[in-house]
Amino acid sequence: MLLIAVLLLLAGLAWAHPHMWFSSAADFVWKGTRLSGVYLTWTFDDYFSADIIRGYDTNGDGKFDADEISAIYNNAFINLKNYYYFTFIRQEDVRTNPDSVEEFSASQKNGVLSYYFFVDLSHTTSGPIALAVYDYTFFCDISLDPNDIKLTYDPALIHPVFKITENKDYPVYYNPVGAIDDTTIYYKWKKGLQTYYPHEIRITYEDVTNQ
Amino acid sequence: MKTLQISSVMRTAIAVLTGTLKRKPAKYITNGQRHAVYLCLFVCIMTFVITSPSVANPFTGGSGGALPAPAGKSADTTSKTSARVQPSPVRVAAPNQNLVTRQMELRNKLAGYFRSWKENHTQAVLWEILAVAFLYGVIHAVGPGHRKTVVFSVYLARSAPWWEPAGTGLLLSFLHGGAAIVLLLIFQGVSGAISGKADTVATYMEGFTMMLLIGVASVMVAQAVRELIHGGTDNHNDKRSLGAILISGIYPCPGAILILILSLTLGITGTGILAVCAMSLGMSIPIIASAYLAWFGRTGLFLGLKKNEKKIGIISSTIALTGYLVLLVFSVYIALPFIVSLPRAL
Repeated sequence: MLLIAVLLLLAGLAWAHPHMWFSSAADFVWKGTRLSGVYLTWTFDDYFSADIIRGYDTNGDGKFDADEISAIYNNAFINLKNYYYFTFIRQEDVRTNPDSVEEFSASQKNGVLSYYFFVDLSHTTSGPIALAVYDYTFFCDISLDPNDIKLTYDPALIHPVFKITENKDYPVYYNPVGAIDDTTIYYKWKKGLQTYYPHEIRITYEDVTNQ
Repeated sequence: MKTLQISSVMRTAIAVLTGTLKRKPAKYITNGQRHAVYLCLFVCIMTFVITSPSVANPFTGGSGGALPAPAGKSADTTSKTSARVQPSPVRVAAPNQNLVTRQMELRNKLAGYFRSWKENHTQAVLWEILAVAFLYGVIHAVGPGHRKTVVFSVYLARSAPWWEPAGTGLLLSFLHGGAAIVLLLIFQGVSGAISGKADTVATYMEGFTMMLLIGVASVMVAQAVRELIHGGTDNHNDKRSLGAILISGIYPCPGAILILILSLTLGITGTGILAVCAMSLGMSIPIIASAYLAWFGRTGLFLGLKKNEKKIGIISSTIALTGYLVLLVFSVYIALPFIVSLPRAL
């Protein structure tokens, strides 16, 4: 029976896989000594790219015009507001998500699709901040390359640095038996919830004008 | 009278799907009627699915900006949004990151070979496409789902000739890939993203087929209990359950759908279909391995018991009960998110 149990475990291990892959690049922008926000650029795999380009580059000219970008925004982006735009912000214990994003745009190059948008972080307090981009439904696998993180600032005013780490101290929890309209995330564990540890871009910066 | 007829059809449909139909088919139902019931159910499911909005893909679900903004989100509280009411996919959990990375690498390679094939139709590139698609299929099926636990529990529960686990694994994986091909042929003319619509279909079909498995497993558990108490076997029910399990494999593989979409956009749909066939062959390997794990375990056990024929009957029924109980518990566990959320969508 023990053998059967072990074999069953082997046969049934893991039952989710991503169906989409994309990379997320980030450009954090400071205005003076205040963090203004972050421009996120998501570059998709060939497959989702092909689907969106086929579906929304309606004139087939190899680029998206304003109407086509609007169609992409309405049909292949805005639903992400129900998933917090996959964007999670943390300052110490305080965790927030953007209510909206700005300056959305879509582009294509050699059959590869990219989304570009701005997340306002001006409401955050000064000091360390962590930003994570992930899909806790596991439909998408989102990669984060340190080489794709950019900090735009005035070196005469601040000295920001960043590192990417898996945050074991601040996991998020989700309900695996929730309905699809239950895109809730939980910050306190409850019975039945499953755990996800996000990879965060942790930024610390000093205001050198105070020194 | 009409009520009686409808009720009779419903009873027949349920009996056919769960394999509980008495072995008096000549009077009760003909093969043609049985096929008609399957066809009706398939058409109903497809109609329901196709007319439903896309939701499975977080990007393409919902509709143009009309959704309310997420509610307040702060530490130690939960955040709830209000998307459109749809059933949830079957259960998901964190995938193995190594498998995820390997799949991504293989998919990227496959996309590159597709582009090479579009430029230059050489035999070498075609073989590379087929080889990569095959490997992608293996790794894809090593991971989640794909009915591995189902075939494991079935071949733990029932005796079968040596070739049957291989045949079942092959059929299941080709049904999985074949459903994706059929779906692409249906959706290839639609405007907008195909994957959103296809993923929604996959969500419904996987959910419904898991519900079918629950029905089959329940009947088989009841039969195994009866055999344990009264002795004897019902081979007909056993065969019907295998048929229902094969039918449960008819849901499209989202990975295969995306391969087909890329091939469609590159104008090489035929090559995409070949790649999905190679992928299906690859997917069959882990499924067949799971089936033989159970088959060899069961066969070995009974070889060991050959000299103790008195106990064989009891042990056989006990193992059958264990296998079908595993199938039942697994099906319920996996299908629970779909079942819980389905009433909201109806």
